[in-house]
Order: sequence, then structure tokens, then C-alpha cells
Amino acid sequence: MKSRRHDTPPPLAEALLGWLLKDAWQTPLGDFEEFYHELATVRGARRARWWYRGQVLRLLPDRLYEKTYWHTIMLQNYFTSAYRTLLKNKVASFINLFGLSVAVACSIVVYVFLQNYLTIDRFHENGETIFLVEHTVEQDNELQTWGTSPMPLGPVLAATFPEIERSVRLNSRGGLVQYEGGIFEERIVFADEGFFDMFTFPLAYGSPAALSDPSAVILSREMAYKYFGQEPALGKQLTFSFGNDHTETFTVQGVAEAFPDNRGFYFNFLINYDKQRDLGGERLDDWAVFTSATFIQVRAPKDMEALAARMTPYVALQNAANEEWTVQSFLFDNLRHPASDAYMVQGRVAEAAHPGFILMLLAIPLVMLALSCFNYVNISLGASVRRLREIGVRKVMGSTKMQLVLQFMAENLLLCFLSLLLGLGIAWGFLVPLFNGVFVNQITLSLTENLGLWFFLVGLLAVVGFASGAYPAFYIASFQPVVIFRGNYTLARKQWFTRAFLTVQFVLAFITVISGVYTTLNGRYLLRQDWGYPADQTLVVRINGSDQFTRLRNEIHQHPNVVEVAGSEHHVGESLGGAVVDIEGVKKNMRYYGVGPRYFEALGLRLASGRFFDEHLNVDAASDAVINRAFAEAEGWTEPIGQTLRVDGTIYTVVGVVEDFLMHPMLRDRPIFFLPSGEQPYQYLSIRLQAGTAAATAAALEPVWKRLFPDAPFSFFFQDDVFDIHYQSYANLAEAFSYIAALALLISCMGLFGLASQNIARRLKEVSIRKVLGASVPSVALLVNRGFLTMLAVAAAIASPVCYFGLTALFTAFDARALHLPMGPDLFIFSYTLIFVTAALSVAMQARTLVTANPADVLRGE
Amino acid sequence: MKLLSRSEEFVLLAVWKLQDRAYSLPIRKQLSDITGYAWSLSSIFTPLERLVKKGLLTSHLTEATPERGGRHKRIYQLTPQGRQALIRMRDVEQAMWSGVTRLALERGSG
Repeated sequence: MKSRRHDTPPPLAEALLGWLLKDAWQTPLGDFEEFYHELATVRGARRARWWYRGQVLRLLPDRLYEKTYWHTIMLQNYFTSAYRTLLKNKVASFINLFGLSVAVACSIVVYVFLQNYLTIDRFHENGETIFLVEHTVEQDNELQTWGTSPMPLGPVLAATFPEIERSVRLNSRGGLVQYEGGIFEERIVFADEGFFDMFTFPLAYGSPAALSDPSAVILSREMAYKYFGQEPALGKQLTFSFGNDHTETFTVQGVAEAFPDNRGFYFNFLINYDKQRDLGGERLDDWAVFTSATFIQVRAPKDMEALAARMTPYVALQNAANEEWTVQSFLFDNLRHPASDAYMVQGRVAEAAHPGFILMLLAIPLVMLALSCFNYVNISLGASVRRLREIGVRKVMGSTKMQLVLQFMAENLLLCFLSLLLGLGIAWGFLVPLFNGVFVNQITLSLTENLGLWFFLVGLLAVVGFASGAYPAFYIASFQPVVIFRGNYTLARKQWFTRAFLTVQFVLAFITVISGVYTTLNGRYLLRQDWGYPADQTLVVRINGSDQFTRLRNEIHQHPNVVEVAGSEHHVGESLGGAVVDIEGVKKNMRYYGVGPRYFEALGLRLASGRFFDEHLNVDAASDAVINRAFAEAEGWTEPIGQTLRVDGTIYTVVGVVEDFLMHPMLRDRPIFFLPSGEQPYQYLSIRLQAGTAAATAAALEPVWKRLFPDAPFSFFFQDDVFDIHYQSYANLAEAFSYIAALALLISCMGLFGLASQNIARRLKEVSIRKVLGASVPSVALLVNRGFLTMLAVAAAIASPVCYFGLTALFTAFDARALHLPMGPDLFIFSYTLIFVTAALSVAMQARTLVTANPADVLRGE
Repeated sequence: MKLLSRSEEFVLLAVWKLQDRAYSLPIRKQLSDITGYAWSLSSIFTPLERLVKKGLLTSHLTEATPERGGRHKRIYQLTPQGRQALIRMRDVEQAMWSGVTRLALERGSG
């Protein structure tokens, strides 16, 4: 032998051989080794080693075949017995299948949604080098970040810094689009010529170069379909009107392909940026005017830090032009990797993912998954009592613990797999259409295009299978046959575990039910709010500018049903203005309404003190302001009349205080003020009517409008419908909450039902003896269900404070002044009753067994 | 009784000859030496197994020895049926060979 190393056969080959040959084959292994030594002495170690390896290789195929063959047979057996068990326990299987598939469906939808939500705007190929220009400004004593930027900034930066390849500004504004008699209000986006070079929005028809043509418009696919249907859109003429009666015709020179689901900002109508100069007199060179967004594309992203440091001169330039809005700094935020607090940026062109929203969304599938996994664990543990004998026999027949674990896991995996399929079906056929119907963001469930979904589904199967199956499998498999067959095995030791799970389930059920009930009740509460003025007597017509206002007012103010007519720039419930208000040196970002004379009277707002605007007010010289009561209280003014506000460099004097009124379905006492508005920017004409004449007046108005303005759409609404959109979206939210609550309650009660049935089956004999000895049915029912009652009570005690503080925090996060139903005992009592009754019903079906079971039948058996 | 195959026959004979040293390796060595053909270990195991199955051989394990990596040897022994089989085999072979001489075979005619 040449060296120590060759004293033994190759270790790897030896280990492989040992694995291939079972214990009984240890002797041949010895033979091999002895022969190896013989060979090594006669022919040299090298030959011997190669011989040894050769032997192993020759053995490999046969033995592997044998091994996998038997494993496959065993696996088949696992699934056969799993299939039979599932069929045998139909109720338990149904409970598990139902809960798991609902949970899976929720998970799939949330996954697909988050896939889009977390990758907003990442599809732009140049994303790594595109940055949004933001600025910080001090408002309300805090540093705010805004996603808008001064109009001239982009071109100036691109011209000054060679690092910047190009800059693209976006500006979005409303306008009317007219085609063959149809008139629609649309959002129009103005963009610099580099738009299509910077962003990945491929065109289906036309050329991106069309954007440099000032008379061209590029449509989204959706808009092309809306206006032209199946006809080719290219070359068609669309007439656009912007404010100030400026109308111009554009030619469609491009149609974009459908935007991806994860688009944040996009366009419906895209027009050259410089065209704004002709249309609305926008001051494109004015640093005081802001554009919706400025993007810059750089050659190397690493230059950005140096660039940000060189922005100081532009801060000064901007602040010199605009004293009211003093910018602190300019920042850059990458399009593909936005800053972690990008969701806090105000006026951002594409909203960044909000972590709170993500958490809330994640909570839904997690709660459902937890509930159904708890059900599975509880029911399997309970059912294991009935399977004790099976387990004992299997063990006695030589089954190892691992084999039993595998068998139970196979049952669980089969069930999880079925739920996965069913869940996919529910998501595809029901949840995704529901989601797309309710939300603006669209989601698509596609197994062929979405590779990530496959990984998610496999991962989900593994996680759910493990979370629900591992504990029961190991627990059940560890029973000792001797203990089982001796016949006095009890599960009492593990009952605390089941109880804890059930309690947690009901805590979750309580939380969702209380939230659902509260959201629904709160919706009704909001509907019952006093608006602070008689909203059913006001009709509002959408107008554009002083010309329409004057002509329409002159036409209708004589009408017998009309009591009052007023124009306004903003309108309660419809639109607001934002302004920086300087009160005694403190700057605040506040909201106001710009209204004409008689607006208060037309709406019916009530005066608390002072006076409203003078009817013959000269708005250009006016310095009157009216505030609401909340404003006065927030400022601590006991005598608000005569106080002064500085808005945009003009000093206003408070002449009147209006009683608080509902400005948003959930806001009444937010400080707000009214400023006089000239007729030029009027957008609304409010008409106060004689009571009960609303419909008749509206019908009489339409022909008048058609005669006066044949080219403009007649658009009006009744003031009492103004919050309908809010109410509708709130009702959707309440409905969603109720669905979740109902599902959570259902899954929990199904779990309770499963446990109760097992509990009663186990105690049937005890109960029968008690009945024979004279126990009444109610007392027996109470005895059997006392455990469940305690659990429900504990769950209620835990869930109630959680809900109380959680919901309070939620409203405070929206607005500290948000109107909401005070959470009284009635809410909790109602929710408790709902849950207790449902729980009692699910247990009652089982309790029937107690009543109807004849003790003689039960006890005769042995 | 059915006739044994050639390899079984040889292995059975080798076990008889080796007596209490009869385990796989010496059997293989003896067969290789006599036949001049390199028998592989596995070509020994299969006939051994079959003979045990047919009840012609029994086996027992010896103490573990260090040169075998601490593993046992399996020593084979003939059962009475095994000896009967050898006797019968010997009779049959002698009967088959009777009258056949080497000289005649070399000459090429009976």
C-alpha cells in the first residue's frame, strides 16, 4: 500500500454503497471491502479503487429503481388513504376545504394586486435614469414635500447641466372634448417632445414624432375606442375647449397600446407642452406657476447627488418669483426606486405605494388563512380521537413515525391542493371581476403570462400545508400503541391548545364583525347628518366663465320657481381652493371657496354673526372674507368680525361667520373660509328653488340651455346628490367590510361546529348517563357547551378594546375632526349578539343529537 | 429434483471443498483459479442466494473482523439436501462422461 489514504475504499463510493444496500446487506459490503484490500495488494490501490467505484455504479440503476418503486407505491397508498379519509369525514373536509379555498382566493387577489401596486411605473425601460423633480416647502409648521415643480425649471436644468440628457414636463388639466355632437369632460396631458424617448409607452398606431406637431393629439387605446369604436382613429378631428371659451381642433396622430396594469401616471389625451401658451394663456416662463411634474433623464444615476447639491441658485430664483411659496430645496426621486417615504409626497403625479394600505390589504388574506389553518388544526386534532385505533394498528404493523407523519401530511396536502384549485376558481370567476368593478386599479389573473403567480401558488401551498398540517401530523403520529389499546387515552392534555386556537379565531371574528357592523352603522349615521342648510332646494349648473353665467342668469332669474341665483368658482361638496393663509405671521395651508355675491343665500347657509358678501360687491377691490364657526374657534377668536387674513399678498377682513356646514360627508367643523370671486373664473351657477319644484325646474332649464349654448354639454346636479359619490364609495367599503366579516364569522363558526360535533360525539356516553340519572336537557346542553361560551367571552373581552382603539385611531389618521358615529355600548352589544347567536346556531345543530339520542341506544353498545 | 445450473453447481462444490472457510471471497478465488476466468463478486452472490433459497445451503455470521471495515462474514454450509444434490450431480456427470475419453475428443471421432 502506498499511503494511508489508500487503506480504505473511496469513502464517497462506500457511503453510496451503504445507502444502496439495506442493513441486511452489510455482509456483502464487508466482502467488497476485503476484496478491495486483496485487489489493492495484488494490482495496486488505484485499480482497486476504480474497481470499487465500478461495482457501485453497476449496482446503482437496479437499486434506485427498486427504492423509488417502493416509495411510489407507498406514496400512492398515502394518497389513496388520504382520499378515503376526506370522503369519510365529509363535514370536516367541507369545512376545511371551504375555509382554505376562500383564504386562498383572497391571497391570490391580494398578491396580484400588490404585484402591480409595488411595481408602479417600473416598466419604463429607462427607469433607472429617470428622476422626478420634487421640492420641499414649510407649511403648517412642518416640512412638506411636493411632487410639482415650477414650469421653467425642467428646460433650464437640461440646458445648464450636461449630465442631464433630457427633461420632460407633464401638465394635466381639464377640458371639453367634442366629436360629432358628443361632448365629454376629459383630463388632457401636455408633455414635452421627449416624452416617448423617456417613457416606455409604445404606440399602436402613428409615430411618437407627432408630439412635436402642435396640432396633433395622441390618444390612449381606451379613448380611441370611446370616441371612434372600431373605426381607425388616425386622422380624425377632435375639438377641444379649454376655459375662457378657447376652442381648437386637433388631429389624432397616434394611438397608444394598452397601458400595463401597474402604470401610475398615464395619459388619455396627449398634446405638445408649448401648445398651452396658445390655449389658456399659461405663463410657461413664470417661476410662480407650477406644472404637474418635471422628469429629468440623466446619463449616469450616480451624478444625482452632486446635481442635487447644485440646485441652490434655483431655489433663490423660484422664491424671488413667488413669495407665498418659499421653497426650501429641490430633490430628485428615482422613478424605479422611489424613496421609502415617497407616499408622503403631496401632488405626486403617480401616487407611490402606501405602507399602511399594503398592511391593511395583507391583513385580509392573513386573517382568512389563519382562521382556516386554525380550523384545520383543531378539527384534525379532534378527529384524531376517532383515528386512534387506526394509528395504533398501523404502528403495530410496523409503520414508522415518519411514515405516519407522511400519511397525515399527504391528507393535508391533498386538501390544500384541492383548495388551491378551488381558490383559483373563486378568484378567477368571482373575486377578480368584483375587484375590477369596485376599484380603479385593474388586475388581471393570468397563469400563462404571470410567472410569479406560479411561484406564489407553490409557495402558498407549501406554507398553508405546513402551517395547517405539521402540528397535527406530528402530534397524532407520536401516540404510543400501548397507550391507545389500553383504552384510557384522553386528549385532555392538549385541550388548552385547541381552546387557544379557537379563542384567537373568535378574537379575529369579533374584530372583523365589530368593524363591519361599525362601518355599516357609521354609513347610516353619515347619511343622517344635518347638512347645515336645506340642500334639497338647490340646483347647480356647471358653467364656464362669466359669459355663460351672465346669459343664463338673465334668462332664468325671472322664472317663478327661482328664488336666488349665484355664481361661484368653487362649490360646497364639489370643489375647493387651496391657499396659504398668513394669520398674524403664522402661515397655514388652508382651504377656501371662491364665491360670488348671494352664494350663501342661494345655498341657504346660515349666518352666525356679521354679514355675508354685499350684493353689489366690487370683487376687484373687495377685501371681505367670511369664515365658518370652526375657523373662529380654531383661532380662538371670541370676536371674529374685523380680524384679518393675508392670502396671496392681499389682506382680507372677516365680515361674517357662517354656521358650520357639511363640506364633506365626514367633515363639518374643519376651518374653512369664503373669498369673493370675480365672474371670470365661475364654474358653477347655483339656483335656489321654491320647495318641491326641483324636477320641474330642471326640465324647464334644459331647453333654455340648448338654445343659449348649443355647443356645450348641459350638466347639472341637485345639491342633495353632491355627496352621492362619497356615499357610494363608502357603501362599497362597508360592503367589502361586511363580506370579510361574514366570511370570517362563517369560517370561525364552521370550526366551532366541527369541534362541537366532535365534543358531543366524545361525550355522548357521559351525557346519556347523566340523562338516565335525571339531568335535564338544558343543563346537559349548558354543561357540554360551557367551554365554548367561556372562549367566546374571552374573545369578546380581548377584541372589544382592540376595536375601540383601532377604529378611533383610524379616524384620527384620516382627519382628527372626521365625523363618525360615537362607539357606544349598542354597537358592541349588537356585534356580540350577532356572533353569539351565530355560534349558538352552529352548536345547536349538534345539541340536537343530545336531545334526540336515546340513552338506551347509546349505552347498550358494550 | 431439477438440475442445477453450472454456476450453482460450481459454487455448491466450492462451498463443500472450502468447508468452514466458505464465504464469498474464497469461493470466488477458488472458482477463478480453477476455471481461469475472473468471476466477479456479484456472480458469486446470485448463485449463493439461489442455493440458500432452494434449501441446499445455510449460512451463519461470524464475528466482525477489522480488515472488513468491522463487518461480519457470512459463512455458508451445505445442508443434507445440498449434499444429496452434490451426490446426484456427481452421479449424473459421471454417467454423462462415461465412455468419453479425452483422446477420442482430441482425435475428433468416437
